[in-house]
Amino acid sequence: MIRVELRKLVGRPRTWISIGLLCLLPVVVAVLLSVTEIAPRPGQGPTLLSAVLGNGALFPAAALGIVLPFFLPIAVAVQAGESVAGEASAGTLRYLLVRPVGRTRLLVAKLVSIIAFTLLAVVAVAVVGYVAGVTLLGTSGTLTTTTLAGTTLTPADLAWRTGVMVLYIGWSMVGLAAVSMFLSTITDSPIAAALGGLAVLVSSTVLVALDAAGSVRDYLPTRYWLAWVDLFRDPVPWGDLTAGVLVQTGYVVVLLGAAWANFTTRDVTS
Amino acid sequence: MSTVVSRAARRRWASVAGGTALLVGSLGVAPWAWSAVGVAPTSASAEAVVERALASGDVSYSATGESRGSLALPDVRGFGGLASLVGGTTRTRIWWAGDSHWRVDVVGLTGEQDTYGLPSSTTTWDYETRRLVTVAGEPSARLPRADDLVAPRAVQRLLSALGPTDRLSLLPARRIGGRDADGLRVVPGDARSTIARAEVWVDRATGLPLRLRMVDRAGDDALVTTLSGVRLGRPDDEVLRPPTTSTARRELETAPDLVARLAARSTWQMPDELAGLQASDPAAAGTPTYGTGLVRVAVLPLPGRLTREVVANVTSAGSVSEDVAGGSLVRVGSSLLNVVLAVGDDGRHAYVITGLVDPTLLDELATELLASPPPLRYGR
Repeated sequence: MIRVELRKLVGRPRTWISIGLLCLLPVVVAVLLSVTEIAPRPGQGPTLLSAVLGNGALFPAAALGIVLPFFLPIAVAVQAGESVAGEASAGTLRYLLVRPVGRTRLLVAKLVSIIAFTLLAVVAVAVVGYVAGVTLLGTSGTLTTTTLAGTTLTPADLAWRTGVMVLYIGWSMVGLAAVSMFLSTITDSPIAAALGGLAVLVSSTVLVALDAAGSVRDYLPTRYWLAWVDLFRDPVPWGDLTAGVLVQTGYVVVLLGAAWANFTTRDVTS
Repeated sequence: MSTVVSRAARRRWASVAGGTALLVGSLGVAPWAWSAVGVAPTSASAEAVVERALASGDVSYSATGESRGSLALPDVRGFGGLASLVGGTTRTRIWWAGDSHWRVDVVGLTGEQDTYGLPSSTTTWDYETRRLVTVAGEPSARLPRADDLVAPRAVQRLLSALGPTDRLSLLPARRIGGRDADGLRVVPGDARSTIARAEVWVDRATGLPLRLRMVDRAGDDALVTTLSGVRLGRPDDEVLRPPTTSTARRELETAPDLVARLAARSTWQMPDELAGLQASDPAAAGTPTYGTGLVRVAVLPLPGRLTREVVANVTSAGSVSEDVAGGSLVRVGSSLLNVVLAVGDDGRHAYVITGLVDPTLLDELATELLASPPPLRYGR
């Protein structure tokens, strides 16, 4: 079942179009930076973007910083919202379940497919960001790649930090995907499930910035999304990164549990 | 869409609800409950707790810090990030090997500013401007920095300023960041202080101050600074060494900010006493501090051109200029920190007068200074 879902994911043009669009914006940014050599002023614009001129090796991080606030969550929410509701709206869910396929197995297969899409998207943005950065913005031949603390990053340092960043952002997106996947089990409309996930994202983003929400801030899904920047500090502060993984895990466990409880007892009519 | 309600469904939803409750309990409620569990009262006196806090300057530790200020000051050019420092939230990372060997990072979403305290200098690294600035020595006066608001430093500064009339009492001990802490309440003995009370919590094991809460006369929190995630032990020397990146703009300064530069160039011989308050540091004759205990007022002379700029900045933010004998006053107020700009009619004498005191006291100092302008310092 998992293999079938993964094959469907890889074979569907929509998957590659959405990943292509995700990668397009960072490439456009890299081209513009390379042509104009005008980077945002330090402290302005997307994270780390001010440091990439002449330091193309840092561009994967900047590329993920560009797509993280908006485009990546949209792509993941649409994919997750589509998972069950898409089958229901296309009228294939009933036929899928009489093959016979256990509902829990189907849900697990859908979940694996969403996680695969999320990781694929994040890795694609990072890889395209690296290629675009190195070819268009140059490498650190004259400029040393440094942490936010000003200490030098060796290529090995940069590689493991970028790798952990990819995994961390991927897991953060899985938390959002869990919201849309849960909604996907209670509605037949994929768009409604995706928009529901995005509504949670926007609400959480607003509350995180609100001092009055201080008592619940640490438990909001987007509270630690930007903690990946900590990977480029020296020494790396692991506190927020660990908290971010735990919070996302909490949302994933609870919402997937709810999705399972709802889907396995639901009366499937479409 | 209809749902088949069955025993199996109820069992599944019950297991999800149970799991959720367990998760919320372990992640959300348990840490709160642990911090609320009572801590045995201390056997030490309030004075002993003060002594231990003041002696903790050489306790080595690493921690994270957060300070929240609610002092609404206008953002005046030349006065750095003072307004955001005392009027917003500042997150820090701290490595402390002693009073003359430390590092404090101000952590932002997209960058950081790191300050390294060394025996004879202070070095600041700003990621966003890529500037590495070293300031030799310690000036007689300077603007507050983020490291001044780190709980141990802020508490030690407060407690070392206490006068004989300020009252101390113990608060119930509590847990701060997982550590048992003895509580202390400080109430200024002089009603002219804008501090209604200050509450201090000091680590029972080491004497390290972990939290400071300053409450204004309206009963609101004016400044709260807390240390968390404390790990005792000397940080690595590597962490305490300023970066040596070749891409940084390196600068060597003799003064860290505008206030320090003005203090060093002050041309006036300030009086030893103003409005009944004695100069507490006569050695800093150019920029003295007046008063004792928690009623202290700093006076900073301003040069003419800068005065016009500062007054224009402050009045554009809503402050009103009021004429008095010998000059004019512009007041900038917050619940805790008050500032008066006193500008002489001669265009040569101007001062910033500030302190955690009632504005009427600042007015008294200002009018006295304007009525009898100080002479030029000897030899200048």
